[in-house]
Amino acid sequence: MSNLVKYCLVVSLGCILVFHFVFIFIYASPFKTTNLKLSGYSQKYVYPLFHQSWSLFVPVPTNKNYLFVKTNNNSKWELLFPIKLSSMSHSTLIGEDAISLLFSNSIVYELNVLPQKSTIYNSKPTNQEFEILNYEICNFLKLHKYINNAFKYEILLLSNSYNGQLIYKFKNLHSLK
Amino acid sequence: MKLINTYLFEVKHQPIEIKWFKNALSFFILYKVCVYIYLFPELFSEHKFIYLSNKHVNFLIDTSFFLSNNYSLLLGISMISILCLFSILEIINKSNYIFRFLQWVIILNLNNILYPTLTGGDFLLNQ
Repeated sequence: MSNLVKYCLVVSLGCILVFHFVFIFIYASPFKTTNLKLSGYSQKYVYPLFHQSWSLFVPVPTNKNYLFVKTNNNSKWELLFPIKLSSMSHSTLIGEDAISLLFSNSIVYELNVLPQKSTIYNSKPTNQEFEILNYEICNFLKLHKYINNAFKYEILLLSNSYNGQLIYKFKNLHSLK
Repeated sequence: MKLINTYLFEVKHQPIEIKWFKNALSFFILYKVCVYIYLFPELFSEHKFIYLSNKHVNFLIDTSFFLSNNYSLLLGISMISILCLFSILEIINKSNYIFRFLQWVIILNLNNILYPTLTGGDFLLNQ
């Protein structure tokens, strides 16, 4: 290999590395929020192949929301989140962070689209956020309550926000097939 | 200062330090594999809690969503097993660039499918 080819290779590799690290820096830096054009380019380049998530730095936040479930097999309201989920695993090494995060994220996303007043829903809401939360609850009941047949259930969601406590009740829900 | 510079940046120590770093990373991946096995019913089984939605952008991006777009129990088990195997190969010095590249692709796929279970940052930003 001639010196010229070697030189070109080194320069090209250097340029690629500089380009890569500049875009990673923009993606992770506060410029992302002020310069939307730069943010768009860095987003296109970095996500999903070089993406780093916040979980590297952020522990599981404390929970202010509560989720109760009542199935047609049981007339009592059962607290599903956070206590039931916390009692699921007792491994200190592994913990319950993953499942806690999954539910708390879904509850927060759903609360963001719900109105700022307590509401009773007589049928299943059609938004995507509820679809995801409902899927998780339904599979939790199937897995941990050993319910194999179709079942009906209700959900009670308690949110402690800055505006005070809000209660949402979702009635007439059917298990997913 | 010179002593610190020598300790941290001396070339003759670098291969050993790189090997230590690779081993630490491989052990961390093995720990994550143990977590996935422990939480297998919740994360990968038929009644998994993870909600899947298909995502198609282009071939390059779709490679990181392969598991999510084509999820099956067998594919999930295979990816976790291969990840475990590649990490062990790395520890016993039998790995190579192809294995490491595949390992990276598998971790991307697992991270993308388990994304809602990984991030506490989104929760903070959205609450």
